[in-house]
Amino acid sequence: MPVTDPTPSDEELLARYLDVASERSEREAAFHTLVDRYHRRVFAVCHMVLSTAGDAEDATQETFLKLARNAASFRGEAKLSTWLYRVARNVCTDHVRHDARRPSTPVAEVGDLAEAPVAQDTSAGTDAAVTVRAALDQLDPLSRQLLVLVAVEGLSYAEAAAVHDLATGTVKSRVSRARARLAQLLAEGTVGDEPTSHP
Amino acid sequence: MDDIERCTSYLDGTLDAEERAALEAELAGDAELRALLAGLERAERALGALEPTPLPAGARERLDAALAQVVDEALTHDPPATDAVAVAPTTAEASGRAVDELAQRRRRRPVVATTAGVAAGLALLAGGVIGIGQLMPERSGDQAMTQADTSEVLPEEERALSGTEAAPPGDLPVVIDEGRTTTATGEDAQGPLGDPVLQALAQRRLPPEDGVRLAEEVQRRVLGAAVTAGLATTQDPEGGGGADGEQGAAPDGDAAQRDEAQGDVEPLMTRDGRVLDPASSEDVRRCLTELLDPGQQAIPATIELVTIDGEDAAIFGLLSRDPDGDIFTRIEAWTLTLDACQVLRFDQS
Repeated sequence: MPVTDPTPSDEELLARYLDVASERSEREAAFHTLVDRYHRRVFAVCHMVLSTAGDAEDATQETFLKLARNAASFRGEAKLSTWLYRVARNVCTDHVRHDARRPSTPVAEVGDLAEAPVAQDTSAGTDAAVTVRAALDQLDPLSRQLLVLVAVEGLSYAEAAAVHDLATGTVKSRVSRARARLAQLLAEGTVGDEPTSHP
Repeated sequence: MDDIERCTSYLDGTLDAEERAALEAELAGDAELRALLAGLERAERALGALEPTPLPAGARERLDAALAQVVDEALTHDPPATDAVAVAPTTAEASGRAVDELAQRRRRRPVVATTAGVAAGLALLAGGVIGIGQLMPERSGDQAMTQADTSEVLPEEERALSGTEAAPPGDLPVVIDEGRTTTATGEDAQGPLGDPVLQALAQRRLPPEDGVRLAEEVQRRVLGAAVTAGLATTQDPEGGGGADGEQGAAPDGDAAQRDEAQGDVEPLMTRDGRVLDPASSEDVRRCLTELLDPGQQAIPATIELVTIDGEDAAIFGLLSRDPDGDIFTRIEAWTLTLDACQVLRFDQS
């Protein structure tokens, strides 16, 4: 399948991967380009849900394995990226449930998805990062996660909506209000004075 | 769109030319609006101090290794479909767990024989009838048979196993049984995996919209409120959301708080018309509420009260989404102690 656009869309890459008439090397390259585009962000989403980098990496692998195996089932009703993040969300949920299988694990711990850490910030040592992180901690968990997904991890509103199974409009509204609240906290200089919104 | 959303969209560059011009005109004469916009810009700059989550060292190489076999098979065969799963090692523990889990998933199959006794004692939960037909308006009125109607027409298992096309549309998929003594480790503890009611519901292959609707309706009838939510289960403290499709959310997982807000909770009743004793009903509701808190968009379909090592427990049978396609086809069996709602066992088909 000839694709003249020098920067093919995700959907075009997927079609190329599935196109049995194309050269094997071209199909393989198309799939790996998709991995290039989404590997880090899928990992970020998984790490937001799962507590350890190892679990997040496992879930990320499972997500791309599903993409490789089930690409033909993508019906094009949504963008490929939102489909991929939805798959990642379900894979991560499965991992959380797996952890709950262990005897004596209180179910309540399974419900703490929204309490998971936000971005694994490598810039945590800078003053600015410390300040903004303290401000983020004062947001409610869902708003904090949505804001980080959009403003830090680079997901679109629709992609963040797929991660949380929310409507895109809801995400946009929550992110807007979270930005405004963050601005207020930073302006007041009260960061760290208030109790965090999660235990 | 309020001022905050307008200013955010302005900064995002997503306002159209007319909206942008209008906002800029307002900004010229509105100091408060200018302050809002400046604050949002400061917040955006502050967020720029955070770096996106980096991949762990070697993650791409490990992913490529894991993908190699599957991609190779996909490119060799048409269509690209295989059940083979490979997970490259990350940490020894994580890798072992993942492989073990995947192997277990492949091994698990619905066990009808072990649940025959349960099926024989299936009984309706809830006083009224919640029919799938009633929840799916596209079905014709003559198909909207009630559970009582259909139970007189077909034997329980025959109805349940009759498949997507033949299954009666009006059956209530929530059933309850009590009194069995079992273990948390034996095969019979898989409980609902082979339950014909759950299997029949899975065979319907409910698409997401219908499945979520049914899940929420059943949860409302059984718990007084739908606890299904997205990944996060906290309530919007600012009172927003909900109007444009956000699922009803549980308030911070606080079962007691939720109980206070419960409205039309229906009595939990067995098929023969006995009302479950208040203590058991409370335990079942409490544990089911906690079980559904992790953001499960799941349809509670069977509940079996059992005794495990002398302790009261319940095996909840849920139907949830297939991770691949969002279709409601996965059967889950959760065994929980009733006093602390601790998970003793989890299986899925």
